[in-house]
Amino acid sequence: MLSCKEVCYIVSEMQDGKSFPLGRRVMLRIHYSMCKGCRQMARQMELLSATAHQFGKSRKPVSSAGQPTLSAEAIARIGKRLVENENSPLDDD
Amino acid sequence: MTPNTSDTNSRELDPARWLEDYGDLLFRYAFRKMRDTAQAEDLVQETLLAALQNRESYSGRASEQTWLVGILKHKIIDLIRKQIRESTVDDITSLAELAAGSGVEELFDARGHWINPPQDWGIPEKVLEDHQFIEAFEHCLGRLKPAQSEIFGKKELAGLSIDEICKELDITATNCSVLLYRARMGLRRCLEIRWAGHNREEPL
Repeated sequence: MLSCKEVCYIVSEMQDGKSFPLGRRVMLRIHYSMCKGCRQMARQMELLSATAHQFGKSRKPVSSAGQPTLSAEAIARIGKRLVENENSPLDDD
Repeated sequence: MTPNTSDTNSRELDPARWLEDYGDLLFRYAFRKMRDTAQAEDLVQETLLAALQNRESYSGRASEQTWLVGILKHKIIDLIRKQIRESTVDDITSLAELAAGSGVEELFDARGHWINPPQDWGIPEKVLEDHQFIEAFEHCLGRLKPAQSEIFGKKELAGLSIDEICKELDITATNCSVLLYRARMGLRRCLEIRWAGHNREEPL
């Protein structure tokens, strides 16, 4: 008898394209027939995949408005490192 | 070696200007992936240093921005790969450990049964049209660990196969499927709390 935890992992691996032997698939069916939680979980996992697929196609380029920028301190630090390396590209302190 | 010749190429490829022109763009890109300011800053620095070292190899065929973002992408993959490798010891060693492991397992009791059984989310076609669900999905995706969201994105958003992902990240198929399992379970749980729980008036 499969536990709900095992069923979750099998469902995830199936979504990854892994195939399971008949015996395993029968056990999965038996589990589903007795466990509403896992039936819902399997539907949810399919929905996640469908949502991701839709999301991946419709995703718009992210606007830079209101997004984080490099701090002045980070710019100074990175600039300093660049200058050091530009003047002596082979010496890395 | 005398790099300070009056070479026209190196005048065009001016690292100080890179920082000024592309620093924020690179930082935002890195921050979106890693969600950590210090890591994103380090990635910008490493990218620009690598660009400086390899500026002779810049062919001028791609734009400067494309070239720099390309270097950054490699640096991000390297970092995620390293994080996955480091996490293998105490995080995703094996399925046996998964069974005894952390996070996801709080969903199950000692016998491996649901503590809070998954709810009915309704008709899939309707859910997919619910902008609140899509917003919650985006939010939840942003809350996964960087390695999890990177792999989930490659698998489900970009549509790569497990083999392709393993190859690109140089990790084992088991690591890959455990990370995907964690990502899916994390998303599912997050949506259950943030969207399904919010949507329904049912007591828990």
